[in-house]
Amino acid sequence: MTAPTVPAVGDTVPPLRVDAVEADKIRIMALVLQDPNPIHFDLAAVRAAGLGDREVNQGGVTMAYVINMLAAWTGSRAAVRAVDCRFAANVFAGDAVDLGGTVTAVRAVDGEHLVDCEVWADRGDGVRAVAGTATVAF
Amino acid sequence: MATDIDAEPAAPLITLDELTEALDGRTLPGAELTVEAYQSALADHALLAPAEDSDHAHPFWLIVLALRGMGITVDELCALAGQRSQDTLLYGTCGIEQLAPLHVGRTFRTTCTVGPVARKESRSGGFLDFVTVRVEVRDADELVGVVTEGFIYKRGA
Repeated sequence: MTAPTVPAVGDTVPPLRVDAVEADKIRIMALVLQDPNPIHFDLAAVRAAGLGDREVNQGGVTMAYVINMLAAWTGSRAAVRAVDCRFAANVFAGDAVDLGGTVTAVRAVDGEHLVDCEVWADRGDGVRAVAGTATVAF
Repeated sequence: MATDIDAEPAAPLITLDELTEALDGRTLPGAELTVEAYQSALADHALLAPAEDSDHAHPFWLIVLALRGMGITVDELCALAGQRSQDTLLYGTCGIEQLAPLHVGRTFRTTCTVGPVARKESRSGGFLDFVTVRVEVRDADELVGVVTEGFIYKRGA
């Protein structure tokens, strides 16, 4: 296996797409997170909150999709060193999510290359749900 | 039939001084939590995680440990923040630093502090209260991760 090539500033992080967020997976993550907020599993609560008629994906899970993209790019979960995200819009069951990123800096630190990126998660309708920054190691 | 006079008065908005007194600089109990293999597998499935040939948990587990490891529930945090029925809690920001990978099956100790706390007036004239929670995650004595979460209380009229 060859070592991955160190990216350069301006490079694009290989994009990733979630074709459709599944309601059952949102429910599993509510259990894993021990998150009792009913907007993740109770459509009556979603409607009562004025959020429409589909389950709301956890913001942290949408952030995890960004981490998936970074781990797939670097080939390792351990290479994901930092991710900072701002949650700008909800993602709902049934939504597609497009993950993307761009390299903003490359630093040599303690014998490895730390690569800083802008990252994002856009809903299928183009609305930016998550925006942030990340650092990965190559 | 109830009249306006009979109606219960709306709960008053917590003052910034009260909010600061209740939360800013507060240390929460923290917790000890294990990344169980079956929960890791279920989370990988639900997160659509790419295949991983190590025993490293998904870095998302730092968020799980942070939310489950405050030592109080989110509802209890909301009570400290004076959340009323007309207020909405938003998960505004989240930052993770993974200093070392989390190994599935290990037990982690979390420590948690709150702060800073801030209030801003929204464009609509209401208030937004920002509460930052920082959780450190240790495997034995090694600091393996830090999570900084920004909770926003959107105060209703």
